[in-house]
Amino acid sequence: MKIKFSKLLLIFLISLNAFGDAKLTGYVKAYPQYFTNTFVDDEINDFMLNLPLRASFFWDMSDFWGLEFSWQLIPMVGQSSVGLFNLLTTITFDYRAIYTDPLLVKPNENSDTKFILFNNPDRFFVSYSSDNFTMEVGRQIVAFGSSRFVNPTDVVTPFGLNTIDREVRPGVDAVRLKYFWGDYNLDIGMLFGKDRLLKKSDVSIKESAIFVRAVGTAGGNDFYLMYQRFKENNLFGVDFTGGLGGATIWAEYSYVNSKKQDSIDYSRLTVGGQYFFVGEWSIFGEYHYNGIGTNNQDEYLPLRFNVSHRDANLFLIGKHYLALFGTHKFSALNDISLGGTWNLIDSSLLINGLFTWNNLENHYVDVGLFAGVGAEGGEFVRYLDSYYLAYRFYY
Amino acid sequence: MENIFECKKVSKNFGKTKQVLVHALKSVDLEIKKGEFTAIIGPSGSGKTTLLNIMSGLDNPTHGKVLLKGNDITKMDGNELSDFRRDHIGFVFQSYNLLPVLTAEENIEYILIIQGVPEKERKERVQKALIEVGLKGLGKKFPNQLSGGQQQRVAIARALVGKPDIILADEPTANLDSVNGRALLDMMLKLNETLGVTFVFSTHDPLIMNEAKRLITLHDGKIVEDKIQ
Repeated sequence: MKIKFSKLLLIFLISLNAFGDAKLTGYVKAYPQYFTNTFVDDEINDFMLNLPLRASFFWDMSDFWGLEFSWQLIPMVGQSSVGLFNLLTTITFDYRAIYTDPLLVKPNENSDTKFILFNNPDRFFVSYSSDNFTMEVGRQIVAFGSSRFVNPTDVVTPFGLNTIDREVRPGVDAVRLKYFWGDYNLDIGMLFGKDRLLKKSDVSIKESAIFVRAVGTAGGNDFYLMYQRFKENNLFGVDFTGGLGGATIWAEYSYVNSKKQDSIDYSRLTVGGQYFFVGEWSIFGEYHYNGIGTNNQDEYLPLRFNVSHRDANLFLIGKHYLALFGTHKFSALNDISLGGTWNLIDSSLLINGLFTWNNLENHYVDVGLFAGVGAEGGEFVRYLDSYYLAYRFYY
Repeated sequence: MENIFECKKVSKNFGKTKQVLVHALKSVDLEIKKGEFTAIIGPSGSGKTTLLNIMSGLDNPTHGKVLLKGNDITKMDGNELSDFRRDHIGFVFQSYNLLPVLTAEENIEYILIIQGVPEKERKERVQKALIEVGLKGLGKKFPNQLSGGQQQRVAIARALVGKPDIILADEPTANLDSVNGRALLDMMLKLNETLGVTFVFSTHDPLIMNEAKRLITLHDGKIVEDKIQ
């Protein structure tokens, strides 16, 4: 007996209510982007449109059990002289035991205008929650650190400085347990990675990670101690968030060592603060010390390929940085922020500006830019400048 | 002399239905020996670029085998083929395909970084490659600061520095004037004669045709002539 898909879907949706609270949400976004780089090559004029579509299903099966499932499809079309589409075809996801090729449609090498269809089954986990214990098993978000721009304790799926869409972190396959005692909690987890290069069907210890994190609160301040073992590297970290004179302050530190060939032992530190003025203005500043980085521009490129740099998903290659940003809220519906991240040694600067307008309920429009300035050879001068519009609709 | 490269009954079809099916290559048999300086010529649409793309592993044949040093590259999966191509094949494109945000040195160096070559050796090989292509002292320039001929030399240095078994060049002089084209050709001949680098070109350029030691003519997807000059 054939049953139409639409009837099956209707039966499924109706049945959800019979088994607890369930909801379907998501978003549709559109990001037209223009890329150029006037410092290195003023003939770069590339264009890309990407349309992320996300559907998320949440089901509170009972007072204790829950389920979350999310799928993301991203069609991308554009013209690129700098191999952007080739770069996108090499994107892989870390810490996914069950790994599917993210590209449903690969770019046509012979065409000037390229199209790819990127797919990402991003969440699929079951959760259990009680008063002093939670457990999450499956593909979920795992992210650490209090800092705003660079998190020394987060080596799982950090965002790069010029990532436009920071709303959702990519999911990783993990088991995570949290125990709560008053103002303290213990957070333990294992992330499962697959060694795709060796075509092993089993999860590889070499590509996996474990973490133990202790969290405490005292005097309104939060403290974190952490140990991670990721891809045969050891990370020891501490993190602090608190208040001082009306400002929010934070400090985050990690030390990483490894016995892998060609690896580098290094530490990273971020200290920063944010202050909200009267009249809807706020500023924040962050200093970052990147111990694995280099002051020698000749070493910039090789560092990007270094095993330690890649294992921790690092994106900075210098040693000292300062980020300063100011934000102004015109109203509850629109705000603007402007600032930059400065490589203090080679003096290059990545300027970042964003204007956001909530024009209708669940509809948002953004206008933004990333632009690198500085002397020839500087880290951020090599970045592609990006000017973009964004339209976001949430359902 | 050993065969570096073999195509065995290689055919390539484009399109899915009989109405739109294009037979770009028809059962091509080809052997390239180490040290050859070979030009593949033919009218537009004869299959030159398709053949070069299949030889380099950038495209798969519809039928047939492609062997490089005895390894069948048509049976390799994505990662294996990428690694093999990186280690054994150099490719020079008509449009150079240099990364504009990297200097000339860096465009040449990153292949060696991916191959895991230690830093000291990398720097030495990059400088040697720049000297071999006549670009000593220009390593810190970005591609847009170099002439077309110089950019193409960087592309050749990049193809050369990984010590590939074969360099495939698709119309390497097409975007150069005659003076730069001649200079580039002389450089490649010198590399072939002094270092024994194996070159296979697809070309319309009479200069390259005259200097090639072997001339293979493609017509309508088939080899119609194969002569030693």
